[in-house]
Amino acid sequence: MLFNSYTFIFLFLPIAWAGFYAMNGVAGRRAGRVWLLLASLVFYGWWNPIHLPLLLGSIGVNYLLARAIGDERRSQRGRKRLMVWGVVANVGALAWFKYTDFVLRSTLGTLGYEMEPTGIMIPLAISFFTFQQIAYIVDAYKEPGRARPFMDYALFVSFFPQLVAGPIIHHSELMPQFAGEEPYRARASNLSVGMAMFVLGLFKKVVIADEIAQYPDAIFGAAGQGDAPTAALAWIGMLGFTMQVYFDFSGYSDMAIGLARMFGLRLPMNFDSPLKATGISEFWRRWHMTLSRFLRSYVYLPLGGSRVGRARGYLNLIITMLVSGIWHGAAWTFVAFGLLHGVYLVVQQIWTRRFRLGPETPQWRRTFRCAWARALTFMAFAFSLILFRSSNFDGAWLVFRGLFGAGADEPSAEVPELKAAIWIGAAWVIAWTMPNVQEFMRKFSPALDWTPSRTKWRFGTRRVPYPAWMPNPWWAVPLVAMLVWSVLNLDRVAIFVYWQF
Amino acid sequence: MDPREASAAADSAGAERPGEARSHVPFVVTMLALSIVCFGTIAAFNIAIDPFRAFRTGFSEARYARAWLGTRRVSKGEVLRHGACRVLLLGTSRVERGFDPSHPGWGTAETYNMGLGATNMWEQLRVFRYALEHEPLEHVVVGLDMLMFNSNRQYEWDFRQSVFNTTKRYPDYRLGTVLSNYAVESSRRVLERLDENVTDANDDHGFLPKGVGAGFDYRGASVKLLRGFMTNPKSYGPYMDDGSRWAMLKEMVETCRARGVRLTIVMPPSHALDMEMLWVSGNWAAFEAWKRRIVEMADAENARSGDGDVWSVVVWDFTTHAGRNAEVLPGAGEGRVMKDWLETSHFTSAYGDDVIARVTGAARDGSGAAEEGLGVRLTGENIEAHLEQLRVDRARFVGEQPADARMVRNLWEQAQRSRRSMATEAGG
Repeated sequence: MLFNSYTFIFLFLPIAWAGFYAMNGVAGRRAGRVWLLLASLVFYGWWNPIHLPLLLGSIGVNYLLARAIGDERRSQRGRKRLMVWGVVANVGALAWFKYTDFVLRSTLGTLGYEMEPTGIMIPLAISFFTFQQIAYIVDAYKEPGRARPFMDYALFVSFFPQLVAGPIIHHSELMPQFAGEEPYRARASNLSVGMAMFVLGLFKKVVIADEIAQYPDAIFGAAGQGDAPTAALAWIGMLGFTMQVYFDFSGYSDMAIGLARMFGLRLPMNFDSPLKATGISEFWRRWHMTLSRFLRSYVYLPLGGSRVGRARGYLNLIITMLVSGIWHGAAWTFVAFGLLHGVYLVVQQIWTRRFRLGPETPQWRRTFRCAWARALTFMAFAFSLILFRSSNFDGAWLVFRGLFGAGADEPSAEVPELKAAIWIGAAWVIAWTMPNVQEFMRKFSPALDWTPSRTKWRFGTRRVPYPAWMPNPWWAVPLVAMLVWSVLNLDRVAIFVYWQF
Repeated sequence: MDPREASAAADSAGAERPGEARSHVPFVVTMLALSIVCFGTIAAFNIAIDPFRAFRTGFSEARYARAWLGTRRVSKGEVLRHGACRVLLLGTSRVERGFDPSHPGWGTAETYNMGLGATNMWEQLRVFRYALEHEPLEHVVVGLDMLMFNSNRQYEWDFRQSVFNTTKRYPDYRLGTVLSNYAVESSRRVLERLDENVTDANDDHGFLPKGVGAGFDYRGASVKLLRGFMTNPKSYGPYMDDGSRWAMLKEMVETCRARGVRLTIVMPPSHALDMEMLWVSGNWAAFEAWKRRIVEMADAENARSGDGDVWSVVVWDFTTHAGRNAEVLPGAGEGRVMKDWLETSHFTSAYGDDVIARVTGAARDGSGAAEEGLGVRLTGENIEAHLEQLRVDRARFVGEQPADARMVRNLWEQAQRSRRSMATEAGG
């Protein structure tokens, strides 16, 4: 089920919410948790229940595995062996469903054979719940003797707001909350904050991202079939997709965080205005933050991080970003996307070492450098997204060439250029100058373990505070207008960009 | 304790200060009340107008006919949901505009025209499956165009909103028909047509005939269409058949056979200039192969009929460069009204009547007389002779209307030059 669907908004959510609190009140917390688990499974299986057994099996097997790994009566070596097997099995399952076609096609392709698709269906959200469970079993090895109730574990993995496209929650963030009081009290404060965040996220997704999506879709679609875009279309395609993917995924994350909050649960922040970043490493600390955190903890640091020498450190960065690229999709374009970001990070590290600003640097130079760095980071990310969005390298190359005026003279797709430019420009202004949803909701601790680093606009020496949402009825008016606008536009419902991962 | 755990616990436990909950209640109440009022009003408006005939609360079907164009698949799906259909007409806009469901040749008033603009086999198979499941079908007539087999042709926007889209669950579908932009827009268009004199007797059964008056620029409209066909990858710019659509036709044929539903395949009339486009674009061989394959499929199914099994699939071909298809386009300012054509892509319903008469053996006046020589019933035995005849007809057409034949070639060369220049630019 999609958050941006009539069924979810008008049926599933009200029933799941009311049922949860009714169960808590009538039959106790355990019944409430069972209800929430069942609701999450309905959510997961709504489109195609065929993969429900896989999800349930994965939860069951990983839970038993984690119990065995965390059993202190076992030898350290035995526990380690189990942990390694667990990780390999999870990665193997992910690889089987997601990468079999890719590997076979690539291998046979190099040998000159063509291959029909195997027809393996990728289970919804497998990338997300696999990573969460890998973290759980690895941590069970690191910190033995901390077994959790099965119900809490199953709910942690399947909790519907975060199940299909993240944020990638760490078990230590969600499971302790199930043991607390907060989720079991139907509080108006949680409902109001959750509703406001959900509506803002829905608006970002449905009204902004889906409106913009039609332009890059047409341009990249044509490029994928060999039709080169004009220079204008190439820029619209690249910048349009940058805005689309940001508003799409950050909107999804806002909705997920808002939905969890309606149930009294707090999820970690996943997007912290990444397009305002002034460097690629800062960008990845703000973009899909929970994925970056996972990769750092379970890939980069285990490889040795930056403690193993400069050259190895650079290699570790590149390997980590390669994993990130492959995680995003089974295609060489995603591999190239990850590799490019690895190179970006290495270049940035070298640059920063060489051209570090000293304390004596004048303010104007700092300001200029900051603006320049932000623009460069934005453009570097936008360039990389051409690889992310293109269905093949030939299509990506046509768009790259188009950017530099080497495209076609005739438009390759019917795109109203002025309208597209206005939408993309408006989205860019919002992304660069406005507070994000969490900053807007900052007075009500909208995300777990997060305090805003920016709360004001700076105009020279003047400071103007960001607007802040308050739970008064006047704020309900624009939010309902945004909700109505969004719902009326659900007819062009498009799946989330990250849904496929 | 893990810092994250500590933070989660602290965040969770200390989330609310005394009195805070109460201060949120007005917001929640206002938000919910306003939402209910807004959505309730929009839903009530759309249910009252009922632009898709989903609730049978609005006006007659005919009043919606023109208002439907953008959401025709939704509307037709609703009509099919409610009305009985014994004869189902499938195909593109040629069928939708040319085949009158009220023609007596069909033998029943319960005939529905499910022709859809810019459709393809994928869509038509889903419409067929839906109709089979919900209607007492006795006869299916499929108007096949080669374009329907172009694998670049995906489903149309309104197909996704329609009841034929099986990936859409019913609640999503139903709420979409009352709480969406397209529902509001369709209601608005219906209201715009309230002053038109339309009665229930004009219910169109999915038929969308079109008339053009004197002074209509046939040539301009045709050139625009031909150019569009030549450059659009969903048509012939370039044509692509990855083979996937054949399984869909096969499923239709086999299901009809299994269910004892009569099946007639019709290749509806194509204007000679439309046919010439296939020739100059190098698609003629593919066109012939396409016909052979259809006939082969039909023959194979018919060959399976044993004693007592009367089921058979019939294939009719009305595509040719000759006869009524070769009607000359009026010149600029000539003011002549074409007898059989709206432009080079769509034939008139009058021509459609004669095609139906030929296929069913019953003319509109009930005489049973059909125009001899119009169309050919194809089998494996006559297909090669027929294809040879079409080549002869083509040669004759080029001799008789050289200027128009040259015009088509020029249009194709222009389209190719444009594509080549783009490819050269792109390739460096």
